[in-house]
Amino acid sequence: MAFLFSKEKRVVFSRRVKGFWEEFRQTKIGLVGIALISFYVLMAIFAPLLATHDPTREWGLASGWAMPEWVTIFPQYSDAARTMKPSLDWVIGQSSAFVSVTTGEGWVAEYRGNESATIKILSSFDYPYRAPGDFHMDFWWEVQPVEAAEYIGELYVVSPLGAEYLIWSTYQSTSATPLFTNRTTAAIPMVMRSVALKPNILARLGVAEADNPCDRIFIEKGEYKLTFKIDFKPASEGTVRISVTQVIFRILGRVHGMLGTDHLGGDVWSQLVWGARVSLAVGFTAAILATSLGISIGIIAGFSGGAVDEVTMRIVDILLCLPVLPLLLGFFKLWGPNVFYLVLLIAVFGWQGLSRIVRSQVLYLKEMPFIECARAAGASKYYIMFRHLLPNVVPVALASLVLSVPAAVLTESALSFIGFGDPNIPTWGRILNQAFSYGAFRYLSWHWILPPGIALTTLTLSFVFVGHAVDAVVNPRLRRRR
Amino acid sequence: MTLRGYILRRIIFGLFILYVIATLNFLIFQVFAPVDPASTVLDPRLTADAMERMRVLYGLRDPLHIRYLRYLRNMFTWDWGYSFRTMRPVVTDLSWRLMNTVLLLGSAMICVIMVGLPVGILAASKRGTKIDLIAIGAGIFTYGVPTFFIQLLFLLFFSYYIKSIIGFTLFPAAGLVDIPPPKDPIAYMANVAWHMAMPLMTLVIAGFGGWALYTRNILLDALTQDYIVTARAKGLSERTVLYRHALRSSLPPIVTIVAMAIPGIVTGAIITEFIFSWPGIGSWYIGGLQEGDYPVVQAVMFMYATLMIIANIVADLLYAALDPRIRVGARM
Repeated sequence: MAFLFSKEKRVVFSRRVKGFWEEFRQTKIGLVGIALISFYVLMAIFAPLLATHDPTREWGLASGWAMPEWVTIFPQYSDAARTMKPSLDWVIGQSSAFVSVTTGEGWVAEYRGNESATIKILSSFDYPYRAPGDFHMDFWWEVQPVEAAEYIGELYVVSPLGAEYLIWSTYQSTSATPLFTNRTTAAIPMVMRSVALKPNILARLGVAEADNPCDRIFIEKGEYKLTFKIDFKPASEGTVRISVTQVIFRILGRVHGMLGTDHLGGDVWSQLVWGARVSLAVGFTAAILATSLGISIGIIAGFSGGAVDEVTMRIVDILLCLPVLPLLLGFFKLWGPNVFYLVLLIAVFGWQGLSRIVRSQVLYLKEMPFIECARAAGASKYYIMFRHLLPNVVPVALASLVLSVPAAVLTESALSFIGFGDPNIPTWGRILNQAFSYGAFRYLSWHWILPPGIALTTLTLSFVFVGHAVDAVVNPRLRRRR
Repeated sequence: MTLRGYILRRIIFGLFILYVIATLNFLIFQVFAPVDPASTVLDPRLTADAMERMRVLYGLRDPLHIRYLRYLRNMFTWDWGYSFRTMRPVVTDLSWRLMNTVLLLGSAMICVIMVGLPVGILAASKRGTKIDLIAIGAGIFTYGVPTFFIQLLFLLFFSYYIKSIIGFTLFPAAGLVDIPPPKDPIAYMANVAWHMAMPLMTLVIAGFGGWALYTRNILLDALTQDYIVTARAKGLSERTVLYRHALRSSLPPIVTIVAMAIPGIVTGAIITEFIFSWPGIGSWYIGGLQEGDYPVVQAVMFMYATLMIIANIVADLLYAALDPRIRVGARM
């Protein structure tokens, strides 16, 4: 407000602020509130540094519903599966006629002759944990020339005890038209996800469709093998090249990061940190907008009186009668969920209470002698409104400002929670919505449900604390009572 | 101004608000973001011709002002049309859903008041003691904690966690009754009560604090008045002072706030019903919005507004009736 005053008045103003602070400092609850708010403000400011991942773009960091990584300090979780990307060195397991070239991320095998053959190419990795949530393998599969062979290609996981589990297969017969003949390259991208295996493969594994195949495959700890097995019958004499390249093999753990993962394997901690930014931004902007609307409308209505006053107060009456939450939902249907509209709507539906208070205050103030003096000195209407009335209603509005921040935050989170939030922005309400909709309760993912809720609660409470403290300082009736 | 004139004026004003709400509804769902009822029928055999006939049948090919006037007439005569989803009259669905909502939130409100008011009175009478502090703390806490978070916590711990630990359901997580519902009426009622227990508890926990704080502050206000000092000076017992003098003078604001809270029985449940899949008005409203079932949405909004307006008028009248200091004309 300092710009509103001349130099002398600025000194008076700064003294007033100091006096306010002196009194505010006495209230313990207010200081606790300030500390909590600063904590979340810092979190919001440093969100890009604190977040370990991009909450809107990075998924599959671990398996879905993964627990936080720090639970591994408890003995019952000490061998919970971590996310790992084993490096694979491929070796020839069986076959003589093949000339094979292996590389770090795949292998190429060449065959000359026209005899049927079976080749095995394998790679081993060490797996020291309990069963993971998911494992997946992406690679390019290529047989050249395309029509040259009839084959069945299979991929097995071999457990330390020697049990073989088929997890992927492909085949080609010369009688059938080969797949993708019109491609310039014969390489076919293959995707294997353990959580999305085909029913026939699940049936061969003996796993019900609702169950996780990892729990059947990764029973023991030790050295596992990945084995490509190709039953091969060349159609004619010549060289056939089989290659598996650009292999990406990942085992998705059941623990991840600070707060685990959501259903897609996204990082909950990053979502939470970015959510602080959105929540605070929405809260502060909506509160400031609503409060300035309330103050200006209250001043104008109270000072002008007459028809202006009557009309504004009727509008206030209407707004007080409207069912706000259903109406907000309706407007979202109209405009689509967008956080800017949300802020505007919260402000538009949030000024009426304050404007009533400000108006009554102005009605009382405008009969005071100092306003009459200003009028007599020839001050214009607007000058009086903004230089004389405004500074006097600011203390009243201050508590309202502080209390309308959590109201806006809660409105935003409630809307997001029931699924009417902006889908592109991570907010605390949206985290809760996703947790509620995507099985956080079924999998008992407390680390996904509790943090956003606790953050919301503490943020709201901190503003309520500060609001009460401010109220106790600026509200003369409360002060007397103390 | 006479009382009758005041009531008349309030009613006319209320009708005007209803008109505003109805118009907003019309603008949102039929002009700016129109929902094509033909698109809500997911039948591949539906030809373009049939869709067009359907639109004509629904009156969507009439000029806008005719549609608007007909819409207003239907709204104000409680002729709210048919739900696109169930193809039943909206009023039919509304009646049983309203019953479910009122059952849950009505009992919640009674419980909240029965807990909140005594706590508030107790806190005010023991002002400055530990009991007072606890009451204030609980009040501020339940004011600050979002209701839906309390509900999620209950759902997580009292439904899912307990089920995973002891192996049977302590509180069901969702719904109104078991499916299939029990045949015996008593068993049926018990089953509904069992399903209602958790939403009810959470609503009471989230709601009583505000009531306690409000009652406490009103009562404290009354207790600092001069006539209380007089009553104490007369040597009346503290009990008499509290219940006969202070409580009686603080009744009007409390009763008013009770009256103002009554529409909350219907409107305050959107999120609660969403969380516990309670087949009431609120979950119906959300479903209607998401599926473009606008007859439902319009009807629910209209009913919400009607209730809020009636409650506002009743609250004002109650205030005037209970508090002789308030003269009806004075605040206009």
